[in-house]
Amino acid sequence: MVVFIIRRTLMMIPVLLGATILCFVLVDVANDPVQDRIFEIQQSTGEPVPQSTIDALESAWYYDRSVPERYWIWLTGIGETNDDIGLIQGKWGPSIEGTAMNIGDEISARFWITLRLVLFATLASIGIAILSGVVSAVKQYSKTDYTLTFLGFLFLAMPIFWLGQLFKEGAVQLNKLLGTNLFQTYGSGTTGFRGNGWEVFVDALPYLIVPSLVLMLGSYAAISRYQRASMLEVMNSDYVRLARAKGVRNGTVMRRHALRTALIPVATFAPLALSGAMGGAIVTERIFGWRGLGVYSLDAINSGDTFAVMAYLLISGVVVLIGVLISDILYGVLDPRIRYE
Amino acid sequence: MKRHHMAAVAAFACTTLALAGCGQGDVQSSGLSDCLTDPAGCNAGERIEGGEITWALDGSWSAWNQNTADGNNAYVSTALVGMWPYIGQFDPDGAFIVNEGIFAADPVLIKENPVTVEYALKPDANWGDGTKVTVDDFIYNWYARSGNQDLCKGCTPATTTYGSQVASITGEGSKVTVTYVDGYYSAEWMYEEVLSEPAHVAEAAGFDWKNDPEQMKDAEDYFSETVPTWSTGPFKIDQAVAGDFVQYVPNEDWAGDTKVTLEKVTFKVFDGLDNIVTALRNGEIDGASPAAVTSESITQLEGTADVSYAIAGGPNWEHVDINTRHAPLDDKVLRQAILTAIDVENIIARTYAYVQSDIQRKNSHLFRNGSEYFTDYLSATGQGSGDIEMARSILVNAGYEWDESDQLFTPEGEPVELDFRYSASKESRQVTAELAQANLAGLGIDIDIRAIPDADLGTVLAEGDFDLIAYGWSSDPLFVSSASQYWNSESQSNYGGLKDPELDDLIAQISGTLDYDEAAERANAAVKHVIGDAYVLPIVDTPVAVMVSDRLVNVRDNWASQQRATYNLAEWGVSGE
Repeated sequence: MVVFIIRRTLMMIPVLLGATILCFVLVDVANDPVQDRIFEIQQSTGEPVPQSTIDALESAWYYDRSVPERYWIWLTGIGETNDDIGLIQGKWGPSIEGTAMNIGDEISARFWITLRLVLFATLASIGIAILSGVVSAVKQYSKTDYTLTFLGFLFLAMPIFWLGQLFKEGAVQLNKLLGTNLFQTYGSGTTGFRGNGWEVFVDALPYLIVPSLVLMLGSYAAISRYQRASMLEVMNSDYVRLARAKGVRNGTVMRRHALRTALIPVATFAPLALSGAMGGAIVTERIFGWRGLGVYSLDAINSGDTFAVMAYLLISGVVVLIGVLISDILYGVLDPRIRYE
Repeated sequence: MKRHHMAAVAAFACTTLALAGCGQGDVQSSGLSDCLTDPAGCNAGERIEGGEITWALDGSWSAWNQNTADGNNAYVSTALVGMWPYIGQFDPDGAFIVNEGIFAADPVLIKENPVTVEYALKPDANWGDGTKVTVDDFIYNWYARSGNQDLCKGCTPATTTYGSQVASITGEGSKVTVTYVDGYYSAEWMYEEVLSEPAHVAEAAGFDWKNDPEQMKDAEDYFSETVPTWSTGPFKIDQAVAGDFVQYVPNEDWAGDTKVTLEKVTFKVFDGLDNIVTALRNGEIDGASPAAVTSESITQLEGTADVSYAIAGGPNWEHVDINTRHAPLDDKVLRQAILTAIDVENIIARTYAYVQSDIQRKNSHLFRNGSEYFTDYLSATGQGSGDIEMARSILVNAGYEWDESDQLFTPEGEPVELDFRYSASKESRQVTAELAQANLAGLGIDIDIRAIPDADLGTVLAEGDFDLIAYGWSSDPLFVSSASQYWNSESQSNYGGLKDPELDDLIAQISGTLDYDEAAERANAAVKHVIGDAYVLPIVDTPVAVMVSDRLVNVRDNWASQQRATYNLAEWGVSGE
């Protein structure tokens, strides 16, 4: 097992390197943030931007170098630098948002914001998916099965941006009807709220409900289908039939024999779903104004902030790869037929 | 109770699944209804003591120092309006109001050669920490914005138009005198921003900014990265996160005369107009003055109780530009014909009029319709009239020809095929391009419409990667440097590459007088000349909206200020009626 983990970890390095090269080139050649910043300043001041400032921006953002040179400096920090770049030295590079915006600090702060949003949603979606999948399987081809299947496919088919807007509008109308402000539609907490951990959590609840619901419904459907199929397969297996033939009560058969085995695919899928959601909550974060990793990456891509995009890519890439690794390990632990050598 | 919940669930289901707006209010308050006739005094009212408000900003910022290239944008300018030492504000009537918290009177021109301006400080003008505003603060601002490496080594000022023109700054008591270099002769001397950050805070942070240019740069970086807790305004920042929010509490040391009543003001960044309108309808915010408005958002606001809104031309103006560097557009005659064939009124009717029914075509590049300096030189030329016959006759007289399929050919026999570019997310500009395409088809010109990713507009302009393009400029009542920025042959912002020595001379003359009226006359001469060059076709002052909870008074939009509705933040309050 240890050898397996080491081997898989080492395999992550070329995968990540390849991803960074591809991403760096795509973002870098598609943008010229220096020119865009000059235009923005001209619009703001109504006056020309000094050449010395333009030169300083190019130098600060390493846009006075070629693309390969910029990538090399970003990766290694080796060469003439401003002592703010070099991944292997633990430096993320400068953000085009300015010296006040530290990429490492931003990524770190936003990681926890996104985790807060997706953790609850993913756990809830897995819970509901298991429940509805089992019920669907047990009551196969019943009205309940058809209803759950319909709902599953409905939420699966709805684009998340549309689902988000619908639920947002629903929350506004519900607030209006109840005369409350139970649901907040934008942000992750009251602006500037101060308090201890519990108070912050309670304050965040009105902001958490609707986006969590959207994320949850958006992702539960697929897991639910997995669970249903897995449960049906197990229920039709010989050892379940044998347990029933031995006179074991149906509830015990379902709980102890069928469900435990049928949970294996979902259990191995869960880390992957969580890690995927960490990098994929962009739309939900944007609609509900959560300043998480997804929004950060979107803004960075839109503004051509290459080093910020690279930081996001690395973090989300590592999280996904770790999710895959945990998933593989869990598979081996839960399924006695799988052995790693 | 049970039925109550059922009703709520039904409403939720109704809105979420049927995409219908269930049970919308129909109250349209008239708090801003008199803004058309009284833009500087509308929505006025008595205020009660206290109250907290949240105001949405539709853009963000990443640094706190407006002197620098990192920190200079319209949103940080708005976010810091409660505390920044601006020289003053133009009100919605275009009248200049000097900063009442710092200056005892308007700046005075005490000498014309070299230009020397005296500033009278209020005796108790201070930085919110008990430290008085002094001549050192003026000098700090000068160094920071000079672009002079001997004063600030490695600094990246957003502009050096003021700082590079200062020869010396002296002070005595509450009087500060700024002397400009010999070449400086601007009629807008009164409006120069002479203050930014407090020198004593830089010194307290350990920077010997006055004697060491490198430490001056370090001080500028410090101010970029540090949330400003100092204040010369009616409020001071209690807490803030760059690009997210600023939360103000009253500045007890403010030297202004206006009484502040609000206990807390929060500026919060929102992504997009839809989110702002939804939050306003949900009572999460009290108002906003976003840079864009759509007919959908107006419909939503109309159905919202206790919210007023007003729509008017904002600080940006839309225009169509021609790239004179690209043949055959280097031919002025062809440009004249193209601009004549474009039907501006039709463009307006099919775009901006949907959100602002009383919108008017813009007929001057430098002055708004209604300005005392406004003169319409454009209409008489036929540019923007959509008169295809007139446009064709211009081309016929210049030797242009058409083939049997009505394709236009230059006198040299080259077909006239052009592209028209616009920002991808701007629907109005897309429609402008499509209508222009239809207009120019009548001239036998093929137009290839190409969208620009929003973030790439600056790049496309700088590289001149367009034949025709629709985009916007920001503007304010100041005009002296605008003509130079737009049209001077050497200007970075002369994106279409117009080179006209005669126009350059006219532009140079604008900044050759200290008389504001005379400068405006010279600016109009430049406008008249550039119209003859058929280079830029103004469309409209872009409509913008202000949307405000009816519990607020003294809140109104202001096209003349970069800070829009927040220009008079000290006067804002909760209605006492």
